[in-house]
Amino acid sequence: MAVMNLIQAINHTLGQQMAKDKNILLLGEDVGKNGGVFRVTEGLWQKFGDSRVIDTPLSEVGIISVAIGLAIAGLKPVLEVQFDGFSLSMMDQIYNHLGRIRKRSQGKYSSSLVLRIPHGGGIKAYEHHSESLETFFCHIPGIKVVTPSGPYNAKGLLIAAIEDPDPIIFLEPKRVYRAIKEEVPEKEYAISLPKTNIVKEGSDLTILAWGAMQKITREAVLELGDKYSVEILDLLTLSPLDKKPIIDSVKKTGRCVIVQEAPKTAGFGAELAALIQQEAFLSLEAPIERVSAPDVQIPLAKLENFYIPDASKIIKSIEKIMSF
Amino acid sequence: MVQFLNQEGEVVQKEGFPTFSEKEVKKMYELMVLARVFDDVALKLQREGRILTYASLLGQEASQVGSALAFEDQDWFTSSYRDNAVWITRGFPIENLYLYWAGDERGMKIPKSINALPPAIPVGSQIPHAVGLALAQKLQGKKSVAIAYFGDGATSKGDFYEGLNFAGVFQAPCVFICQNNQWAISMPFFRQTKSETLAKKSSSCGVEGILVDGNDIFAVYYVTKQAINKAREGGGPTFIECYTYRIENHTTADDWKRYREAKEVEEWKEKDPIRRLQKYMLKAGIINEKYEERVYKTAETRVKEATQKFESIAPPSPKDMFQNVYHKLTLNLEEQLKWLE
Amino acid sequence: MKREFQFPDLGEGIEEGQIVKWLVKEGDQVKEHQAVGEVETEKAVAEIPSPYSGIIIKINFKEGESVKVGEVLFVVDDGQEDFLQKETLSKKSVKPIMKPAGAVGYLEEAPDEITESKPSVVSTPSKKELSVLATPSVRKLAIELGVDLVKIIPTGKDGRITEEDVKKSVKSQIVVKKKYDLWGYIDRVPLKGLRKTIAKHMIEAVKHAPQVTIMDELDVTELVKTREKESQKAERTGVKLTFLPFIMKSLIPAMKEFPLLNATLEEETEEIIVKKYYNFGVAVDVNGQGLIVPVLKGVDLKNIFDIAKEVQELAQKARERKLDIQDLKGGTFTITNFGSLGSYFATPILNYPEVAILGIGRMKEKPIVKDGKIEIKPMMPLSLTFDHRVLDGALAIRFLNSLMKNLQDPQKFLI
Repeated sequence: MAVMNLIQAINHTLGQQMAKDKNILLLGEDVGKNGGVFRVTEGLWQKFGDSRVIDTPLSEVGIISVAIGLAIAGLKPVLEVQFDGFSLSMMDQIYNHLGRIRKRSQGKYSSSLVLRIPHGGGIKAYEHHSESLETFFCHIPGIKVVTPSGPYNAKGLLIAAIEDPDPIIFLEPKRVYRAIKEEVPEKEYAISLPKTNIVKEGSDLTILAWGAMQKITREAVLELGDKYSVEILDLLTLSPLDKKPIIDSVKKTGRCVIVQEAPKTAGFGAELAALIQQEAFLSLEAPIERVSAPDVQIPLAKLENFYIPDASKIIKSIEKIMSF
Repeated sequence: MVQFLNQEGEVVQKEGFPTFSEKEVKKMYELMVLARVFDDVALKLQREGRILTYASLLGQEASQVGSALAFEDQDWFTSSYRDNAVWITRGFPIENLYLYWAGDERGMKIPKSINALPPAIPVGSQIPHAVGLALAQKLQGKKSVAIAYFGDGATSKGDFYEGLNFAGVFQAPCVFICQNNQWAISMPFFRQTKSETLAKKSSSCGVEGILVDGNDIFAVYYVTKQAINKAREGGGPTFIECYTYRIENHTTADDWKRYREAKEVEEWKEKDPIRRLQKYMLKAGIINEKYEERVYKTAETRVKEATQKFESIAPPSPKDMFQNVYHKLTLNLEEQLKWLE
Repeated sequence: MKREFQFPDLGEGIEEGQIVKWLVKEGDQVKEHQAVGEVETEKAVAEIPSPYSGIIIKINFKEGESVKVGEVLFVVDDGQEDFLQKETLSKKSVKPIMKPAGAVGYLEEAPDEITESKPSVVSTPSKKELSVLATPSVRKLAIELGVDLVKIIPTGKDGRITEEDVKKSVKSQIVVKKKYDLWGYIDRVPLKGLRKTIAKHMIEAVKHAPQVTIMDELDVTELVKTREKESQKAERTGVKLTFLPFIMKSLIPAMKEFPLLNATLEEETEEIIVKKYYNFGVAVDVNGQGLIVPVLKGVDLKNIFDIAKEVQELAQKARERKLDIQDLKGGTFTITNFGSLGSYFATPILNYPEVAILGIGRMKEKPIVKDGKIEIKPMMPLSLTFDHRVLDGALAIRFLNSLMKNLQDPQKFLI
């Protein structure tokens, strides 16, 4: 079995799926000859040519809106946005059209496509390159939001996303693009959506994390050692959400810490906290704790590490909740 | 294409050739050299791990210095990440530029004397801002104008068309300076647009479009000055396409060898704007070798001082994140600041 | 100040380079940005500029050696004062390797081996066996009152603990120390724990079995002598020899003669269960809190000394409340030694469902009439309570006589 990082796993999966399904085409800025700004599509232009791997003019709005048309006409566009901040200009098309075409056409049309967005911070980049915008997407009816945390689940989720009849926002945790290497099987496998994965079982406390925060969470738990029996859940899909494992876990442990990279207010963690208080109210032994960035703009590199949750902040919150 | 100087520094267009004083020409040269030294040291600082990702302006000195010399302190400008020579020409402290590109936001503390917005990273998003700034001058009865700097890639964005269209409709005193360096990361000009030139694009908005040799600082200065004067006099907006070339990578994290030929780069190195002006000056008897040496030495000293200055600044405090989010720290942020501590 | 130069990212995704040559040597003066060496990477030979002006004081890699991104290539003394804390000069860097991303930014690079950031996925057993359902306000009340919710039996909807449940549980734990009734102040002592168990057990015994007690006393001159003689032997093994083992051994032949005394009555089946084994309970006073009756099993099979030792151990365990539940079960007959505190005769209550219990009072010297003469003899009082449903007085008296006869000849139990 091949050992791959996230970039390699997504690249391999795209190549595998494109070879199988001629309807799949890639669109984005610099995705062709240059292989994408993170090299995710490296070699695919050489393999599949100009008509399947399409370098577009520099226009995010153009990419998404044209792709909606492509999808309605029966193709399966897989789009790349270079950085989070640039996906915001697409919002008009995503909210008003991508998420609505099925409704607007009374079920006649759908724009089943995958929009890949390198997600989150921690790479010392410029402004607008490091945001965590999952909440924005989760708030849009008709859109599904998926986020892998490592190479193995990236493959399974990407296959499921491509096969899905609805539009998918595929958030790739760019910070761990090359920082995690795992064995990725050659064979095809789809992780059926929605999916919350139980990474580790425990009885004292449940931690919910997704994307790049999953790695940070595991590091924090490793650092804590045997002090508490921690259950770690990996939210591979945010919308729709696979609720049952979350509720079952918190009913069992009675305590929950949510780790989100985005700012606190109205973040996805708030949705999870609301869900838990509703479904596991009588089992809670402590308030639900959110570890998040503060409600400020993500700073440039010099302060980035203070902004993004790290292991020490997670441990601090675990201790707070365990001693409640 | 407006051009006064050819590659050899010879005056090829006598008609309308502006008369520059020796001092003015020297100033152009000295600023271009300063920009180049700044840029060269920035690339080294990045390789030494002292600043972060950096977007080089190598080869675009004439477009940036020439245009930036044509406007006044009260005028506004918006720009992108590759326009450091515009900032240097407008008198922005060099150490601040380094500090900013080292990932320290305090570098973007803009002096009172400069009316500019911080460099915009989302491509083209700064264009309509300049239109708004310009329109405000008009509405307030001021004589100031606004200049928008952007690249060829930005002309593919809606922001570009929307900005130009507003400027045309409202006759905003605005000058659009598009440095067509022919590459948007890996995307060559001919794949960015089917339009023969970018200057043509503006005519659809009723905005005059001018194509200029971006490596000829005289031409760039002349055309920009005319456009600014026109705007100041109530003549409306102008679009200027500076035809030039990105010699370096898109940024230090990029590798142009993946997508373009070395031959093309070498050809454009021959069209170097600084060498072109230097040849002209030698021919005109304005300068000698000693002058040149002195100019480089002065530039190097200034850049070295700036390097020392920015590196002597203590790192920012995590508290700084909470500053300038709002006019005043909100209760919510006060709580979060405490938790951070 | 010593400044380390780590092999930097050269911007093309390079992890490692090979030193082609050094353009300077240790001790050389270098200027900022001056090329100090050439490094060959996968893509090209690149010059390495020095970030500092100063003297090269250490070069960590020889020409031809490989250097990884982040490793300290050389050290420069810039001649400046060291304002910062001294950093240790190390060849290896522990920082994660960061490589340029491709357009903007830097990405952390994992080592070649598979990333082991996953904690073990082995499931840990759940600590909580009982899940507690309670609203936050009830939980808060429980914390304030120091109540463990796990121990409360819920009465609320879907098995949830109510505020009332918490409050009630507190009431039962509190002893109301001062209170008064119509005639004066009183103490209310909760009937709980061992006391409660005894009370329940006594009621059961009295409720089920009509009980008769017979009493007698006997001359134990011989027994006293024998015990004195044997106790020295016993003490050597750390055992205190009392009269109890002799009484136990004396009971065996009497019970064999009258088996109904070593029996229980099963009401449901209306059968008398006669036991063929001899397990005797011994009532032990637990520090004034109540009685516990550990059972010595197989009395017929053990010798005096074993019995003495085992009784001593059981009594000790009983006082420390460390008895195993098995030590309390399987009794066929009980002995209660109230004489240690001073009483002579008593009417013990049966250790239900056993049929008889033997009470031993305080042994004392008494004048008795023997063959028409008054003699002073050590006399042992015995009180035997029996279940009148199973046997009658005549049988009980005969049994007691048999026991007393055995006790007068203790020597035979030492063989």
